[in-house]
Amino acid sequence: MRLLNVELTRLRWRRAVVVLLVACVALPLVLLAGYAWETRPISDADIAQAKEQAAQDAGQPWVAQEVAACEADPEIYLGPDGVATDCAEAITPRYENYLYRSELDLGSLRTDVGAAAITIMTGLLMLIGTTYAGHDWNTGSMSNQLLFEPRRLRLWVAKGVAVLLTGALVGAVVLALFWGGAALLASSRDIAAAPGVWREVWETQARGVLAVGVGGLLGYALTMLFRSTVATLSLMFGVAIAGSLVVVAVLGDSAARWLLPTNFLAFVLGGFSYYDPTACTQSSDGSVTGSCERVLPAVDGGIVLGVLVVVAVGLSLWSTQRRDVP
Amino acid sequence: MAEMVIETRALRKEFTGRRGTRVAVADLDLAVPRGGVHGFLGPNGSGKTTTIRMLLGLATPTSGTMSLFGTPVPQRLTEVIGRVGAVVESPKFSPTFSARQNLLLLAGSVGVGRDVVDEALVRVGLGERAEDRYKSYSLGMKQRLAIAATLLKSPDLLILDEPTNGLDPAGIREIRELIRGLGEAGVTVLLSSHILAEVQQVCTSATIIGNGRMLTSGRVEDLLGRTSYRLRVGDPAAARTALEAAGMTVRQDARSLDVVTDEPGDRITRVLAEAGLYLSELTPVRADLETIFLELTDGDRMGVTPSLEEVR
Repeated sequence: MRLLNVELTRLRWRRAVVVLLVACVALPLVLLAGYAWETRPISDADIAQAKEQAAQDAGQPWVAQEVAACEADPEIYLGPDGVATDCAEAITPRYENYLYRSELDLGSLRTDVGAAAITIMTGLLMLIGTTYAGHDWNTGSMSNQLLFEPRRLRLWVAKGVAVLLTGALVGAVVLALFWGGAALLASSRDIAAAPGVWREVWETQARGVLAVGVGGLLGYALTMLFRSTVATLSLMFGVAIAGSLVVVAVLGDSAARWLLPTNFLAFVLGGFSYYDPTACTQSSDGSVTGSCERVLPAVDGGIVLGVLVVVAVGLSLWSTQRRDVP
Repeated sequence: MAEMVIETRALRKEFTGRRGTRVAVADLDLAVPRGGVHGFLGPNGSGKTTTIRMLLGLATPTSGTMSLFGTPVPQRLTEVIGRVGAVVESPKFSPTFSARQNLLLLAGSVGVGRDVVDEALVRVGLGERAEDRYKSYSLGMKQRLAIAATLLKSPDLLILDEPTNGLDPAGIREIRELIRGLGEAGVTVLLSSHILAEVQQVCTSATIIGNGRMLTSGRVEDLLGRTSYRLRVGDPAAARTALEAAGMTVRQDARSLDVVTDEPGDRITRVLAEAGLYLSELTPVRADLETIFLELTDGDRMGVTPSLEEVR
């Protein structure tokens, strides 16, 4: 416990960690603010602006030309039942056409912006875990710490738990703020969630907290393995940029099932649809029918991610215990 | 028999790389008695730091045994690490933390309070600069902070690896005085150094190693106790023959003979007189550690990183 307190203090005192934590709090809230703005209710000012725009566009020469063409041959424009008298109304721009805006929907907020917020926080926590451990190796202070606590595994665990707890705490707080804000927003707009949406939100939030905490642990474990911030960051960027290409090159049509984003989103969202050509059904005339999609359950995604984390943590612990400390 | 604070038996460390296996420490027997400042002397690359790192659990020996305060390490290092303070190679702290923050983190891991941190900082003369960031410190201040860190545990044994490396003369004097003071205060200090004069000035006993092997060990006084004599005689060749026949080590140059012996000078005059040779000059020359070291290492090792033995 004493060692854990020390490591939590060390983590808190690192300026890079503080900056990343601020980003962890700010970015999801910025995403939510952006979503709130994009789904804001239509105001009188919006209607006035739309009317002005519609009137302006209605005065354009192409409108009169199109109306004239329509009146000459209404069936082409309006279908078999079209009559010339309907052409002006059908073609002249109306202000309603300029007022299209999505309404706030908690279900899509969960699968789009909510998932993005969890992904961003997980990435940031990985960076926090990386810079936290990397700093100790880069400065050589790891050996100094081992002169005070020579039990390497104990030190590894204390640091790992510090990152895991920090990630989980930050994840819990930020996601609570995120969904608290979303609930307030929906309430202020008199929008009720569809049945079951809040349960899915809670489940996503719980898995998100776990993902964010374990993301931090993974970054930490990899850096303890490589003993270098640069090496871990290189691996992370390498996986982000080339990982999918490699998986596709090796596995071909069945690659999507094994891509990290697919498994991550499946775990966080409680299932994720991915493209799988083998799921398509081909009719006798050769055309493809069906959706060509499969749903990856959360458990399956979690198992893939869990195996990766367990392997990284295992190697890291083994390395920490066995290798000499510079 | 004096209690040994540090003891190694047949300690060996091999590093395996692409170019084969290198032996950094070769069957080293080291014994450091309680009390005083013990020099651990050897050229760069002779295995001093590797030995220290093994003693402190930072590196694993390939074979051999080690003990601190009679307790086998690394197996039971946790039982004794609280009595050991160490600075291995250069000071290693977080550059963006202040001196106090760095020490507070180390102190926290062993349950030591803020007052001990402040006391240690004052003791090494950093009380006024405790809130400054470590990266703003001079090399001397960094070394002092490293020593302050070792004092957090009120150690019975202090292991300092090249503590004056890179310091200016004033800094070197400060650190040496600090080490001497700690030794006088009852702390056993193992001072690793490749600077012979430093060991001679500060240490009460010393072990000299080369190529990972112990060459000699003992009290500095005893190591220096072998006096050599420079003598001039009419027939140097005949004198050399007579002295070597009497069991003395003789080096001959163009004008004089150097004789190394544990026996008093009158024994030389007697041997030469019995051979019918008479001295024109006999000058005692007290050896310093450098002379001892050069004798032990065939005169070509000091300050040179030796190639390590290749294991076939």
